[in-house]
Amino acid sequence: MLVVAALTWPGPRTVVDQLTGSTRTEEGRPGASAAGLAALEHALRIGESLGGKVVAVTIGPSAAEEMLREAVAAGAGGALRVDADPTDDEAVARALLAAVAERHGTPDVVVFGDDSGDVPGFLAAITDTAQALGLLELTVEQGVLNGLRRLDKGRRERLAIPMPAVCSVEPVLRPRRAGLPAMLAARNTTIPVVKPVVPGWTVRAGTIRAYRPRARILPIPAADQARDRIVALTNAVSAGGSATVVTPPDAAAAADLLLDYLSRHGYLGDTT
Amino acid sequence: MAEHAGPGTRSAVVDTPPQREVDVVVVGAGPAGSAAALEVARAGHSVVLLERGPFPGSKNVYGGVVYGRVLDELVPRWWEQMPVQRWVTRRSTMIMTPTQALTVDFRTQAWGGPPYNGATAHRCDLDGWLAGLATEAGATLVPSTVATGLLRDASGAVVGVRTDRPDGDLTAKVVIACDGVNSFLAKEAGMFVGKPTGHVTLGVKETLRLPRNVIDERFGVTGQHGVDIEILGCTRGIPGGGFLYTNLDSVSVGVVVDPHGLAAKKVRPEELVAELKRHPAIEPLVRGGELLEYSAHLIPEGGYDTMPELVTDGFLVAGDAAAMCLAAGIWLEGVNFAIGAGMYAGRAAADALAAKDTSKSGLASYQRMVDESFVLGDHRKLRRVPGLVLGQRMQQEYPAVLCDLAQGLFQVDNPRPKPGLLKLIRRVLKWHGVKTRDVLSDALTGVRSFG
Amino acid sequence: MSPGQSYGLQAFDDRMSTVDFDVAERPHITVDNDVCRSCQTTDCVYACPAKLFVPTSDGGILFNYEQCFECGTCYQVCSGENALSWTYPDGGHGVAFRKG
Repeated sequence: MLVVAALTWPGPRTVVDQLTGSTRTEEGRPGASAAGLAALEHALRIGESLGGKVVAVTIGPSAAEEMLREAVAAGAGGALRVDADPTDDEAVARALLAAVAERHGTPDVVVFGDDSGDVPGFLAAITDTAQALGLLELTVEQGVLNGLRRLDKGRRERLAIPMPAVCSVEPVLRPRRAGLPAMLAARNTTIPVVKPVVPGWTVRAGTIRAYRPRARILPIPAADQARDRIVALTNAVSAGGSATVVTPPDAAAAADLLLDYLSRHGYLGDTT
Repeated sequence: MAEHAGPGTRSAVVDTPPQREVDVVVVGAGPAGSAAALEVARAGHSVVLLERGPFPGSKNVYGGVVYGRVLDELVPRWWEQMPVQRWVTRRSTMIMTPTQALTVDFRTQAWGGPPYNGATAHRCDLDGWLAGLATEAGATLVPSTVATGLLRDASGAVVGVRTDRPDGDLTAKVVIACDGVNSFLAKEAGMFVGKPTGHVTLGVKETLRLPRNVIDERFGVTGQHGVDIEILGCTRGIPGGGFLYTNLDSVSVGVVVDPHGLAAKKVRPEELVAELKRHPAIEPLVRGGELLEYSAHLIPEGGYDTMPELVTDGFLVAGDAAAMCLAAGIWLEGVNFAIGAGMYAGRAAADALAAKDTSKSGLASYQRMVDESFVLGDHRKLRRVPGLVLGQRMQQEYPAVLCDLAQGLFQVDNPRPKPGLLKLIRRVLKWHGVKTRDVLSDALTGVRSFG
Repeated sequence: MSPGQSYGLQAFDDRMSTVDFDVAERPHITVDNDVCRSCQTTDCVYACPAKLFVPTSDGGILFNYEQCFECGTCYQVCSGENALSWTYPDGGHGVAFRKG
């Protein structure tokens, strides 16, 4: 049984001047967020209930090791710093997964703070495991993970979460305080660093061109004057103007009308 | 014993532990604590450095300039690694009334290159760097941990500290209290018994963001050169002063005042800062700055006469905890004294450990080292200055006298002839109701202290 | 904001919003209003740099510990006997200055 607490290392944050609306970035407060600490505490409790090993993981610079040492002092059986610079949430999920797999194997439960963006979702999709995100409670009852989640209008839903699972929790639980001897012991722990090789995604970008519909070859209308030929070609003055007022009942019907009109006049080519 | 640090904590009496967990516990990872831990670790002893904030410097605020000369002894070529905002190459003292300002402005390029003189820095950078030096040398830094009281044996000797963590007692052969201006540990150890109540002033500060080139232009500096301005007469007569100094792309402006004086004048500290920022001599310098952080801290300004005992059995006091701040008009220093005192405390502890005697007499070399160095030398020499600078005449009358004197000297009153200087002085003193006798007496105190 | 503009005194809340706090559950300072009601000095109301002491109409003091600088000013100026119970917040909590 492997329980992973995935902590987010705060990146630079954007600050908006309330008077002028000008923006700038500044360093975030170093250390785990409240949601991250709640995730750690949940992971520790799950580890205790299920008799598993708890590993605290973060993607961050060496300054983040401080946060991991405190996690070890609080009771995590291991810690892992992932040295990577992922470009998006999917890459974060892949980097985390690769690093944990390299050191500890496949996780049974991964707990995130709810400030982790789309990372938990991607991780669940990549590993094809159950996901339960934004939980208020995450407990183990008779060996089964139970979650409580907010719904609209003040309702709650209770989830029985099959393992392996990816969960994220709201910052509702305060972390336990590490004892002084554990703190002192953890100071001398070296935090293992993993540099996972993550296949990145590349989007092929081409040159941008304006949309040009295919040319249609029309027979030359039989008329003497150039103006008459143009009028015949464009149908400009026929039918008393080109405005058609339609009153579709909803957006789907409006779209149908538009598509129908365009294809009727040959703008869409063969749509069948 | 209270489980939280504060006034009125009492020590826990423990049986003399047969073996101490560490050689030295240093409480507080500020400049004093980190310097102490660094020296102890370098001497090869085990040392734990406790910090109540989440990281060193998180609870600290100061008035701007750190003078690094003392670091020569600790870190060779410190200027190559210290996290500096700007090197101070312009030092100004400004005396003001609401509509006047008289500035003595000194600039030297010598302070802009090695071995440097003073620098501005943010405390979380500076204190983090110093604590990093200590941990590299082998000290164990434990953040987010409050020392809530002392552990003492039956004889009263300090044998460790109690912290607010579970299983938080930590026994040690020596405890060095660098726990800052409120210094509950030194009070608990009875170091202040029989001392006059320490005089503290309240410093409030605003750090304002300004583009780097705007700061360079407004303050007339280039590169990483910076300015520090000490200001007198900006506190509505409440004992205190003001300051303005440059960081790399921000300036910090603030006032230091006697907290009791605020209620008497029915004014709040941030209003004094706002007033200072609106002063015609200051407003062009700080105009348009966006507030990055508002901060406040107490400063022990009582000087030499209010300092506590520094040594007792198993226990040393250094830094702000020992009132080692110099707020003497043209000098405003504290970090340098803290580093010096911490360094000597660390050395004394290491010596005592080597000699296997950590009693008061075994640790007495600390008292001797600070006595013989600038740490207490400066304070002893300037012991009368806090009273002079924070006194009523210096605060309420002299700024106006000096400004009016300058105005009288420089104002052209044609067709009236220029007044003689002595006549002008007498006239200005009379306007302000200041007795020549008092001026001479203050001048004498000043000459004796500064001379 | 371009240099050259200037604004008046900003709201105190905006001023305090520039400071980082990790608020602890335990109020590290508490105020005994029975003592405050008999106090005439109200030094704390003026001196506290974070403006945490607010006088109430019945002569008491409304106090909120959450945005405390932990400077100790209130403890220094308070003349009331045991009006304040003053402690540091537990480790890691409270104010964290970045530009000190």
